[in-house]
Amino acid sequence: MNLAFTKVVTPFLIFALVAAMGCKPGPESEELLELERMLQDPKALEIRDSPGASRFFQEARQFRRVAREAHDERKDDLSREYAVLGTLRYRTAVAIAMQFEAKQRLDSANVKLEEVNPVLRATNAERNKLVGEVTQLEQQIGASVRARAENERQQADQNKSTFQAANTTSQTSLAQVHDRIREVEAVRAKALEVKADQFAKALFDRADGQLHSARDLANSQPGATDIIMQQVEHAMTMYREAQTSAEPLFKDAERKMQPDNRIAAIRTESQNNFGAPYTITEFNGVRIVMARLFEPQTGNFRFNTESLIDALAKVCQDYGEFTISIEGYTQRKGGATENLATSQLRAHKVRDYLINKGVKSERITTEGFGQDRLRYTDSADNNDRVEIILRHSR
Amino acid sequence: MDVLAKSKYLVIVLTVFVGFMAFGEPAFANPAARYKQQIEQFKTMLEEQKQADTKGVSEKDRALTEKWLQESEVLLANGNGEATGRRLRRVEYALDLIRAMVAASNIDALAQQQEENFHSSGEQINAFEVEITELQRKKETLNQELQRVRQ
Repeated sequence: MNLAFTKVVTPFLIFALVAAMGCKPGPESEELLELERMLQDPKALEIRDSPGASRFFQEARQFRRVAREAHDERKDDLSREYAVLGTLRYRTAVAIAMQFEAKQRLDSANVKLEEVNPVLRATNAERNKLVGEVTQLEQQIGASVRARAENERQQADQNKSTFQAANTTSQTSLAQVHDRIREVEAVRAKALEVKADQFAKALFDRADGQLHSARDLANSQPGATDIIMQQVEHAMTMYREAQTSAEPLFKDAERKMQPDNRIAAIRTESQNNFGAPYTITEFNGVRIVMARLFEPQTGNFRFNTESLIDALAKVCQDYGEFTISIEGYTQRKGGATENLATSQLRAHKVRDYLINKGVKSERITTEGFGQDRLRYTDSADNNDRVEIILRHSR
Repeated sequence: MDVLAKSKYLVIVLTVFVGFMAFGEPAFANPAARYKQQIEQFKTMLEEQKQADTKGVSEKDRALTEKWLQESEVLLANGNGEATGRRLRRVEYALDLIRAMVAASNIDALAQQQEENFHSSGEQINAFEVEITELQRKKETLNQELQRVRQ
């Protein structure tokens, strides 16, 4: 009985064992193993929680699941394919997490720069002020040395006649001479009010020379009042002439330097240089649109745009009291994030060019807007542009 | 509504349906043409990413994607539509990856540049401060000199 049972059951058992061995799936593919390894990495949790990356991370997990199912069903090719797609999705999630980290670094660096810029500006302003004062002092010393030399020469020339004159009876008293000198000093002060020392420098310096000479003579040869008076009168005439010559120039310069006139002037000059369609009136300034300035999707200038940027640099230099805001833009081609980075690169490229041309860096700010705010709908390439806002700092 | 009016509406609806079937979405009528069009689009996109990738961070992935694109062309020429579709799906996902890598690299470069700007600002402030000290000293000396020559 037992033998018969064994004979009947044994073939069934052997068949079942072979069938079970045949049905068991083989080892997982390398692609699936790699995907498993990536998703089990401790860093995967950080990537899952990174903004924008979670979608790709979830897709990678779904591909792992279907790849396992396909493997269990012994569809190895399909399992491998899903594993490849899952790996690509996981790596995309990693790249997006890296983007987020880089953006945080960028924001942090921008904040630090914003903090340090006012200090830089203040230090630079103090330095510039000192440079101006030192230059002025050097000029004053030079003028004084020249005047002194001139006085000495004149005094040497006049020594002989002075001694003679001192011995003659003078028609003018020393008190009158001093009164007249005070009058001359008053006229000198008026001449200085219209900056005659700048706008009629030669005449003013000669008058100064005469006045110094007269003072010296009054101290050293008080008897030679006629000659002193002659010098004083000469100085008086020259101061008045210097004042008359300087006055229109001073008024003109003053008028030109008034903010409203400067703003009007920069608008006109911008229109002349860049054309009316590319020049837009802004509050206290002007916006210059430099369309089609860059190669698409890069921060490289197009060929033959140098003269245009040079013209911009010249305007920036001529109007040194205006702040400069550079805004970078792109057309809607490629990814929005990438375009944002490109637009910032473009704004920086123009900033660096201006700095190389001598424009002070502390006047310049930059910003990138990416593919937002398209200005041109008829020609996409025109949107590969920067816009420069020059604004009076009153 | 009488029978005649009902028939009229039926004829109109049928005409619209037949017209849609005959002329609507011709590109999807032929999968091979659609794949071909997709291959060309992907090639263009890949070239664009090549231009944008100034640091070459996606070089290896671009090479792999190009290989898959070539394979899909061969598969399409052999009339293997299903395999072509699978390859193109890989290419599509690989392009997403490349775009993300290139953008991350560009933003990183920008961040690095701003950090360098920050450091150079600090150095510039120090240089200005040294210069200011020297200028103040020089100003003092020149003031004394001016007093001397004016005496």
